Amino acid sequence: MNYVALRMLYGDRAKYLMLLCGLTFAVMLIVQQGSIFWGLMIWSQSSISNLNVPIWVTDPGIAQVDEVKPIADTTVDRVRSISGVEWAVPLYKGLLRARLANGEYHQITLTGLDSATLIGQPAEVLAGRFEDLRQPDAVALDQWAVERMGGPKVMAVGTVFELNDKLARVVAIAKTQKTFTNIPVVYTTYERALRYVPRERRTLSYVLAKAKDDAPVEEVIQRIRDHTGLGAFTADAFGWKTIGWVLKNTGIGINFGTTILLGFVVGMAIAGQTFYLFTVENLRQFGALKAMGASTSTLARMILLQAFTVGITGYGVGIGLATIFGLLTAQEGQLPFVETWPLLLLVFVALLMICTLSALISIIKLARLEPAIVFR
Amino acid sequence: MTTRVGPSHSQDGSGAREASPIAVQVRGLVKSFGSGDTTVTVLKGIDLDVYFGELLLLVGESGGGKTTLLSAIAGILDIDAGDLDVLGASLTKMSPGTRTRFRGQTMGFIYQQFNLLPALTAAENVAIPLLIQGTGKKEAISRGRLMLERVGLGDRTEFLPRNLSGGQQQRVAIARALVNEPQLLVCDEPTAALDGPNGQKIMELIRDVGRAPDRCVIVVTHDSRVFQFGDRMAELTDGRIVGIHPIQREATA
Repeated sequence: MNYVALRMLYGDRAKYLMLLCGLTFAVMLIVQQGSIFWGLMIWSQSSISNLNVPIWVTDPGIAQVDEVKPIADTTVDRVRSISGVEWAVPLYKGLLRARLANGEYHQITLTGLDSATLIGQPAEVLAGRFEDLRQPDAVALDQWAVERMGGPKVMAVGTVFELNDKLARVVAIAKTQKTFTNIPVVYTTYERALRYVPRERRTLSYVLAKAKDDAPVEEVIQRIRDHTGLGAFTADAFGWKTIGWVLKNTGIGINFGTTILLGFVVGMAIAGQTFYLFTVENLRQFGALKAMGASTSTLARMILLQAFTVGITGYGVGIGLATIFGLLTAQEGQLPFVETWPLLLLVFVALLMICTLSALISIIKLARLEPAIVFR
Repeated sequence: MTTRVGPSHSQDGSGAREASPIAVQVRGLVKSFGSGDTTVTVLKGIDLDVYFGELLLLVGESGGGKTTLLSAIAGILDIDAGDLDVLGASLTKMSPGTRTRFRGQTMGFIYQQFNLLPALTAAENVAIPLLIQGTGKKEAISRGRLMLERVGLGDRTEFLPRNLSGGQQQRVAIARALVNEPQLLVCDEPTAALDGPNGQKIMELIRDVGRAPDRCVIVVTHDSRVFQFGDRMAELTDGRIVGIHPIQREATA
């Protein structure tokens, strides 16, 4: 009877397309919104992932990477002295204003890297040489800084601008992942960063470290915490802490959650209603099948097959459309879009729920159907 | 199978037929609809025997209970009281699941509105009872085509119902009802949706291909033009059988 079920499904083309559109829309909306949400979460911890170091030592009360709480300058040496630490370097991170030659002001995130090693530098350089940061007044920008501060005609290698009335000369442009706030990032050496910013009692933002190859990272982190009384995290753990903070302190989770729920409800409503209509309009035919010896379980299997067939087709089309959207927007870099397999699995489970519930409404109707309806 | 024999009566108007075993035995059948003050008793103690090899017409006024009786005999409607022995089995003692399987294996249905699946071709529609019984798709459709040839639609096997006339659709329905060689053929107003000549042809077909020594046919109708095709006629009025008459026909040359 599977054959009959599928022929019935495809035969009523209008309803089939309506069902397909409803489920495709639901899948596309959930995948698109879910992927953008996850992309935003990835962006929220870009300040960590862009530096690509394994251990972050922070103020013990730190909530997230962009909420810098300076720590004592001596911390770098203290961390270096801890057993199992291979290296430890200072990192400055703070907000400052840049004044361009055309008179425009832009808020920037100043990132000061260890001058000897430049640990934390972006992996990919688009123009210039990152090593030239060691030259006088040298700074490097990420590509988003170029975009935000006027484009490549205004900001390029060799461009000069001011940071807190002090000269800054662009020597390199690096490729990085966009940050949640999309504030331009300006890289320089740690010492020069301290010259750019107003003097504070504590200037060290973070200590970046790495455990020796033979030392378990978690043990080393615990040792850092025990010896310094500071916070210490793997890059992953600090990233998740930051994501947790964003979810808790902004409405972004509720906002996206509502849209995703809406996709689920709309998909459910369209699929449920259309399936119900499909069943009601074919009630006499189903009654005839029942009269001819088709059991309720046979009819239920037919309905479920119809629901899952159109559901899986809608799943494929919906994911395809969402992915095309993602590829187009990701190319432009305007929207974060990270499609992950757990999301796709979650959407698949949600879709199975939509199909099962939609089919269930029809199955209940058919279970109560007296085959004698065909004689009325 | 019940072995009581039926009355002698003429099948074709030319003489006495041999006595046949009982295919359907109805005793004290009661069926009501609604509840409380709105209860309507549609069947008020029906007794009826239908014999193998005969075509029984159920006739009577509208609302007299013809279709309800047919539904009960076909096992698609629960009854309130009485006994129903169909093809040697007690329908009243069967579980709903057993009754459904029993229907699929032993009965064929012809409806007033044909009830063909619009998305399926004629051959596929005819194959449905076989598919329900678990026959493979290829074999079922192949047998469906053969049955369509028997009802004169061999050149319409791949047509969708919407591309067939009313008479042709009813022929497809007849082929569907007969494809699994049922012992009991139940027909509800098979000519009601057809014009006079088409109705006659359909009844001829039901009589020719539907009736067999090991099969009985029950037809609900109010169309007096088709009375000539029956062997006996049971008349229902107000939920009771008020008369069962053999149908006399002139001998054909």
